[in-house]
Amino acid sequence: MAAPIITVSDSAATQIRVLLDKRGKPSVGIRVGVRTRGCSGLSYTLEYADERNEFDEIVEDKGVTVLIDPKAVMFIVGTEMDFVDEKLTSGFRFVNPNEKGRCGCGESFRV
Amino acid sequence: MTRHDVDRTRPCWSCGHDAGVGVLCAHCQIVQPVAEGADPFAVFGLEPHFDIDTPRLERAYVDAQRRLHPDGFATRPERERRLAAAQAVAINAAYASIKAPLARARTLLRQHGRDAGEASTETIDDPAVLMEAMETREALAEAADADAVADLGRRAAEAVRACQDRLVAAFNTDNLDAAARLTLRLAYLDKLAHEIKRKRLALVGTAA
Amino acid sequence: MSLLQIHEPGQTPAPHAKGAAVGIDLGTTNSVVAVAGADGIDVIRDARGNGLLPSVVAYTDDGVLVGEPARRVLLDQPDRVVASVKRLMGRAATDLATLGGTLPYDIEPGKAGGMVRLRVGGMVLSPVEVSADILRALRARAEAALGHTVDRAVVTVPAYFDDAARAATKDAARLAGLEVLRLVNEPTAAALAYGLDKGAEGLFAVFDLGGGTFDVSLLMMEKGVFRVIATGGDAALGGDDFDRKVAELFLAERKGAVAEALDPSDAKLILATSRLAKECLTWQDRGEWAVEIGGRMTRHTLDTARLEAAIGPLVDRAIAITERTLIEADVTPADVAGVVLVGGSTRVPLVRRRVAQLFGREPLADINPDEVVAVGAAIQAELLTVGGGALLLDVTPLSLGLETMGGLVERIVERNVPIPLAQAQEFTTFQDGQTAMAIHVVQGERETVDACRSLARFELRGIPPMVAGSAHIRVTFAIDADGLLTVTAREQTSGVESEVAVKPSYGLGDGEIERMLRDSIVNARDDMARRMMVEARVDAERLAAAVAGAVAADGDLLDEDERSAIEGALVAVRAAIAGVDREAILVATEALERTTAPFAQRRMDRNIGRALTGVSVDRLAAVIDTPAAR
Repeated sequence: MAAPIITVSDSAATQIRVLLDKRGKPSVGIRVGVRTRGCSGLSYTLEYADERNEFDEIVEDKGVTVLIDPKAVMFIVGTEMDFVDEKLTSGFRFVNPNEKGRCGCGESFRV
Repeated sequence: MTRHDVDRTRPCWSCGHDAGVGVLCAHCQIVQPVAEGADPFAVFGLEPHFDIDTPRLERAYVDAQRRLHPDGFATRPERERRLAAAQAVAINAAYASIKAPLARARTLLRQHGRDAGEASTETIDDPAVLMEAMETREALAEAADADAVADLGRRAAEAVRACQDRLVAAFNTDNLDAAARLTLRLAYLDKLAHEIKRKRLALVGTAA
Repeated sequence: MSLLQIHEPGQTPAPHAKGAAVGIDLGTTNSVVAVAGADGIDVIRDARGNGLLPSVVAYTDDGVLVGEPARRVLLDQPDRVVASVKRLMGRAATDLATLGGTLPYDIEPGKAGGMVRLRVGGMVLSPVEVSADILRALRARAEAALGHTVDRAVVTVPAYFDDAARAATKDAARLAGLEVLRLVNEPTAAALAYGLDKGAEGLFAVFDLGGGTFDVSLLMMEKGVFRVIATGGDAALGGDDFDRKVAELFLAERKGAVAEALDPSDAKLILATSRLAKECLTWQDRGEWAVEIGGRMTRHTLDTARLEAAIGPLVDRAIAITERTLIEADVTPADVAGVVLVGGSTRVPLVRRRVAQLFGREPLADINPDEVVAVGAAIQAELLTVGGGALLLDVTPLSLGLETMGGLVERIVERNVPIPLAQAQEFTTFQDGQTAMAIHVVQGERETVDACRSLARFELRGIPPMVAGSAHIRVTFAIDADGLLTVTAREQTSGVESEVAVKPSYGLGDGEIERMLRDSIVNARDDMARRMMVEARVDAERLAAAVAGAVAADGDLLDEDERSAIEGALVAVRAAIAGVDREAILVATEALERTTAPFAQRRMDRNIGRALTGVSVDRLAAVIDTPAAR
C-alpha cells in the first residue's frame, strides 16, 4: 500500500468526531474538495459527506473518514489535515509542503 | 436546576429530536426559540438568591452572549439569525432583571408572588424614613459645589450598602414582609442616588 | 484567517464569491476602507499611498468626482461640490450650524420637515445619495485593489448617531450596492483595533473627535470581549466647528464689514481656508491667510493663542461630556487604564492637552487616529464572515421615549443599556369604541418632546371597538445590534395584530429609496461592466504570471515551437491587459490557456510523479481537470 494521500492530526480527528456528532444526522465522513476562483485560482472546500461518490479517494485515519474529491487529490496530496484553536479563531488547515503562493485573503492557494 | 424549567422539553425545530431545556438543541446544537417565563437566575446557572456571586453572573452573562449574540450568526440562515437575536434579547432582559440589587430584589419578590412595589402604589409611611428623606433632599438642594454633592453621594452609597445587607438577611430567612419593606426603602435610596448623580452631572463644566 | 470550517454539503461559502467584506469608516471629512488580509488588516490606499478619501463629492458636467479631485473643483465651482454631508444625515435644515447666517450647503427651500435636500450642479439630492456616491468610490477603490467584487461591508457610525442618522447611513450603503453586515459605533471599532492589534486590556476610554461628530465611550476589554459600559457625545461637534470659529475670526477682521452677505459658495471657500489655517497650526505657531469675498481680498494672521481662545469653548464641551460619561458609569479618571485618541481633530494640540489633563495620563495614538476606525470595522467584518473569538457588546447611546400628555416624555428604554433589546409597553384606549391611537417616539435625554429628537410617529389602527380602557395593546420597541429601532404592536385580548404605520420623521420613505435604487441602476450597469473588466484583467494577470513561472521552472518540457507559441500568446495577453476591453482580455486569456494545456498536463504528471510513489499516476491524471488553474 502506498503512502496515504493525506494524514489527519490528532486535534483534527478529535474535532471532526465532535462536529460529526453534533451534526445530528448520519454522515459517512467529511469531504475535501477544491474550487476554482478566489484570488490565486483555487480554494479548498470542507463539507459533511452524506454519501460516497464513485471516484472519491477515501482516507481513514485516526478513526475518521475523509473523502477526497478526485479534483482535490492533486492539491492536497502529502498534506496533513490539522485543526487549530487559537485565541480568536479556530478551524482546519492543510499543512501543505507543495504550497508556494498564498493570496492575501488566505482562502486560496497556488500550487 | 430550579422549579422554573423542569419538564420543559420540546422537539427541535431543525433536527426533530428532543431539544432538551437549553437554548441550543441538546442533539444538534442549533439555537432554539426563547422559552417564555424562564427564571432569570437559572438563565445564568444561579440559584434564586439575593446574595448572588456577582463575578459569576458577569462571566455567565458574557458566556451566554458569546454563544448567542447576533454577530455569531451573521452568516447563518435567516431563521437561525432571528432566533439567536431573540435569545440575545432574552439574555439582556434576564441580566437586567437581576444585575442591579433593586431589580434583583423585585424579581425575587415577584417570584414569591409579592408585589414588588413598582407601581408606586405603595408609599413609605415610616415617619423616621420620611424625615430622613426630607433632610437629605434639603441638603442636596443646598449643596452648592461638587465636594458637597460628592459627600452626599458617599453617605447615600453607605445607606444603600446597609440596606442591601439587611435585604440579604431578610431573603435568607424567608422574611418576605421585611424584604418587601426593605426593597421599598432600597427603591427610595436608589432614587436619591440617582438625583445626586444628576446634580453631579449638572455641576460638570460650571466650575471651569 | 486561513482556517477552514466544515459546512453542510454544497453550502461552503465561496471565497469572495459574494465578495470580501470590507470595513468602512464613512467620515465627515475623510473616509477610509480597510480589509482583513493574511497578515492583519490592510487599509486600502490609492496609487499615491493615501488611505484617506476626502468625503467631498463634486457633481460636474463630466460626471461625479469624489475625493481629492472633487476638492479641487471646490475652488472654481463651489456650487457643484458637497463636503461634510455626514452632518446632514437624518437632519432637518433647522438643525444645522450656520456661518454668519449662511450654510455651507445650498438647501432646497420649501421642504418643510424631514431630511434636508441639497441643490448641487442643477440637481436636488438627499444627503443619502451624496453619501452613497462616497461609498461607491470606496467600493471601487477596494475592488480595484482586491481584484474582485465587494458587496458586503461593516460601516461605522458615531456612537451618538440617533436612529434617523443610522437608518440614513444604512440606506446610503444600500444605494451603493453594499449589504451592511453591521453598523458599528466608531469608538467601539477603534477599541476593537486597539484590543486586538495592541492587546489592550482593562477599562479604556475612547475619545473620538472627528470632523463633525464627537463620541466618548468607556469600554471594558477582557480576553477578547469588548463591553461598552457607557457612551456619550455630541453628534454636532467636531473639526468643522473649529473651522467655523476660525472663519468667524477672519470675517470679523474684514474692515468696513457692513455685515457682508455670504452665499453658500463663499461659506464653503472661507471654511476651506479656515481648515487649512487650523491644520497648519498643529505644527507651526502662526500663519497668514487670504480671504476673498465679492472680489475683495483681505489678509489675516492666526496664531496658536487666538486659535485656542476661539475653539476653547468647543473643547470644553467635549471635556465636559467626557466627565459626565465617567460619572454616569460610576468611574473616576484614575480607574481608566488607557485613553485612546480617534479622529483627525484629536491632532489639535489643545485637545490632546485637555484630554491628558483630565485623565492624568498621556493618551494613546499609536494606531493612526484617521485610520483606526476603519481598521476596527474590517476586524468586525472578518469576525462576522469568517468568525473568531472576539465579542462586541454595545449599548444604546440615547434614551427612547414616548410623547405623553402635555408634551412630556415617558422613557421606555434608558441609555447605556446593552443591545440588542426589546421593551414592551402596554397601551389602552381612553374612549369607548376607539379604534386607532397615535404614538410618537422620540430619542434623547430631555424631559420634553420639543427638546428630544422625533424619530417616528405611527398610528395603531384596527383596534377592535371596546369600552374605554379595556383594550390591551402591547407595543414592542426592539433595538437590534445595529442600534436601529423597530416597532410592532398587538391587541392582547382580541389577539388582533394592530397595523403599525411608521412615518420616520427624518428618514427616507421606502418609496423614496426604491426610486433612488431605480435611478442608480444605470450607474450600476456601468459599475458592473467596469468591475467585470477589472476581474478579467486580474485573472489574466494571474494566468500570465503563472505561465511565465512555469516556463521558467519546467521549460525543458517544451520544444522550440511550443515555447514560441506560448510566448506569443503571453505577449497578446499582456497587450490586452494594458487596454480596457474585457472581450479582448478574455479572448487572449483563452488563447493562452489553449496553448499551454499540453504543457500543463506534462508538468502535472511530472509533479505527481515527484510527490507520489506507488500510486497509479495514470489513474490520478485521468481524473484531474486541466488546466489546473481554471
